[in-house]
Amino acid sequence: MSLLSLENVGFTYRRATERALRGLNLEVAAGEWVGVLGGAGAGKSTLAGLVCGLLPRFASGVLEGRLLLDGRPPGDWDRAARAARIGLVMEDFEAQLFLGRVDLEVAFGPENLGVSRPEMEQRIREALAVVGLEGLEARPPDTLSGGQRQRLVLASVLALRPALLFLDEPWSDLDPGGWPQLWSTLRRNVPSGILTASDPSHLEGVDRLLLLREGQVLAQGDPASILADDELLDRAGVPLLPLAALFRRMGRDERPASVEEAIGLFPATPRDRAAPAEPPSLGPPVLEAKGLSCVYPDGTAALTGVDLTVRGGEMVAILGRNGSGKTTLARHLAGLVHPTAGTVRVRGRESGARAAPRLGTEVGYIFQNPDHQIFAETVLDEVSFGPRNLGCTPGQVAERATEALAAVGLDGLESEDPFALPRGDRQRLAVASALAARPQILLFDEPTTGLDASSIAAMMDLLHGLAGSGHTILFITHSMELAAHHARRIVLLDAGRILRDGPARQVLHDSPALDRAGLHAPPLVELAARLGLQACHVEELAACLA
Amino acid sequence: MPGLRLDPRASILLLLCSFVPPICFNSPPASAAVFAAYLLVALGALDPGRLRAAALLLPSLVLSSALLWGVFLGEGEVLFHLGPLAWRDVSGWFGLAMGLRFGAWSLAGLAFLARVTVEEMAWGLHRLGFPYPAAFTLSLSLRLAGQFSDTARMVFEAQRVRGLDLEGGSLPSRVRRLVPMLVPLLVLSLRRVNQMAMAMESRGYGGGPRTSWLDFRWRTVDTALVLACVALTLLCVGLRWHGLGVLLQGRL
Repeated sequence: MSLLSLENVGFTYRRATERALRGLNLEVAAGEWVGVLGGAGAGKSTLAGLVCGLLPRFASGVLEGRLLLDGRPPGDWDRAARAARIGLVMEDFEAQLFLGRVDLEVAFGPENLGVSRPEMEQRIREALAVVGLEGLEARPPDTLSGGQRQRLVLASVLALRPALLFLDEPWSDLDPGGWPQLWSTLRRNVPSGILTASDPSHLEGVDRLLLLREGQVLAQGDPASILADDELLDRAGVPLLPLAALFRRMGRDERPASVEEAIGLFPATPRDRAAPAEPPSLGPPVLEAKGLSCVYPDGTAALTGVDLTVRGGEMVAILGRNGSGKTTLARHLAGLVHPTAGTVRVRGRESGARAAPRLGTEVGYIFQNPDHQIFAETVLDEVSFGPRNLGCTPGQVAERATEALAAVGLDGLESEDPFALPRGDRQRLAVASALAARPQILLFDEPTTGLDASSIAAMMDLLHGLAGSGHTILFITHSMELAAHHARRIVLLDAGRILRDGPARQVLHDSPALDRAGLHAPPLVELAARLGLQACHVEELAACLA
Repeated sequence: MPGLRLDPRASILLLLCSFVPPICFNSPPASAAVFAAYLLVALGALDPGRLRAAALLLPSLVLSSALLWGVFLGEGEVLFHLGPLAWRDVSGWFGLAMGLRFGAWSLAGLAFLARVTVEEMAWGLHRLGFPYPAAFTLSLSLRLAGQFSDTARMVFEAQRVRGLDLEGGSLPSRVRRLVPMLVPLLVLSLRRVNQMAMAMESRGYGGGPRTSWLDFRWRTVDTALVLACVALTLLCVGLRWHGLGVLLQGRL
């Protein structure tokens, strides 16, 4: 008998006009990991809620078809018994931590199952070992890094020893390279599960793949053949694997699964091919940090002697593992906080911590989560908030808001409710809100977190468009691929210091520096390096190999 | 006694007892003696950060109490005028005692929170007979309060970057300017609570009889401390019964 069986399952949320899932048939057998791939609105989280018995309890709606967990509908199970059969890790890891110590957090599930104390001790030890958090039992979760907290959530579910694990994109805050390592450990320790993603590179090694689009199954079966079907992936709105994208760009039919395989598909490559030309010359320095240091009240040095000069028109990625000081640096550059030592100069003027309402007029700061700022009833009101605070006249407010909305492609949505927009559009709205203050420098903190592939592409196109219109762009990211593809310059941070600062291709090909920073070069950079090339992304590499 | 770890049940009983002695007296010398005793306990329990916070808060609490009671209670001779308001001596002394009383309660509460985690408190309450869901919800709301303040800080920064200035202006305009803070905070909090409830249920919460990872043994020191506290409390009640430490009869 299957662990999980879905027969023609559909779900429609209350007040929704369309089904979030429709006609879904899926069997998950013991010992099998199924990948669910799809963009935003594909129905991945709805599927998670249904199979874990949380829907329609937590969001009312109509369920169609037959859904059985070990032969019984999930809703019929006693909560503790169901938790022992199926474990769920959701995307928003912060909401899944609610206790004050790591061991208590992991023990919470086994306590609910009535597990004895000696067995609980063993479960805690094993679960923490699987996610690499041994020795941190007595730490309060809020003193851990984002990636460690995400691992802790996973440990707290693993301690339930579920027969089936449902992982709904559980990697948003893991360090680059953290997911492949964690995923391979999970595969060894958890026999069966479902893993959802909007990017196929997170699904490497699943036994079977389900491709969803707008709640409907586009394909189900062997991952290799689905991931080799460019047309199918395009229809689903998900990106190709990086190596497949390269071969497609080169007009070749092969779809190598690994760098090794890809290398074998090229004839001997001359090692002296010229790297693509550098971008045109840049403007004068617009943002300068000199000897910037930040020490928190508890004595932790978040930044130490950071020297950084950014010129007008640059597109800079700030990279580093969790806790390396990326966000602290950005907050100082934006004038949100006073440095403990050192200075920040914007266009030659020392800024320190600037006061509202002029704060966002020189350096616009776009936070990771747009929902930290949305409050107005309409999109237009939301964007008008900044100019109004600046004391602009109604005419100027309207002019700035219209201009900002047009710049991010939200013109025409002025009277929409901002809370009802999809996440990608809410992120664009946050950018428009910053643009309305007309800053020339824009700082983005993880601009693509929580976005699917098409929204990421749209957001990065927006950043390029803004750079093209004269803005200086700095963005913090966890994604090495994003930095490789979009940044001309990379600032690599480690333990509050700049480890490397230079052209993207130079930093990304500096393996010792990346190793020291706990990062890994993306596959295309690895391939380029193995071929003796300095390229960073698909277009560059394809041009070199053409 | 920085190294002393009590059973959470003992800590809760001590906290409950600690509310009685300050309420027994309303004369400044007696209240000051109780306050001093509580301060000694707090000095042993609080870390430097909390002590600094208490040192900032308590003097203003005591002084404002003396000032307000002195003006509004209307007992005793007028000593001086604060504009149209008269400050009276007996009322002022009573107010001072009330300030010391609130100060003593604050110190007891701070000492409790410094030595007992919210999970231990939930464990203790449950073992004292509270239904587990009620005890757990109490501990969860205390923990959520911390998360709420982190979210509030981020929302404030996000709006400050867009020019929100909460300083200056009239009271109504300040209240209006809070809207861009409150709406995201409310939306994020509701979303967080819903997700948290889902996470709790998916981890088996509310499924039936549960065991506990926390494990405390009631020791002799717990019994001794609780008995000593009860004895001191009874002594204070007795003193009050005989009219000692009382400035104004008929008033708590």
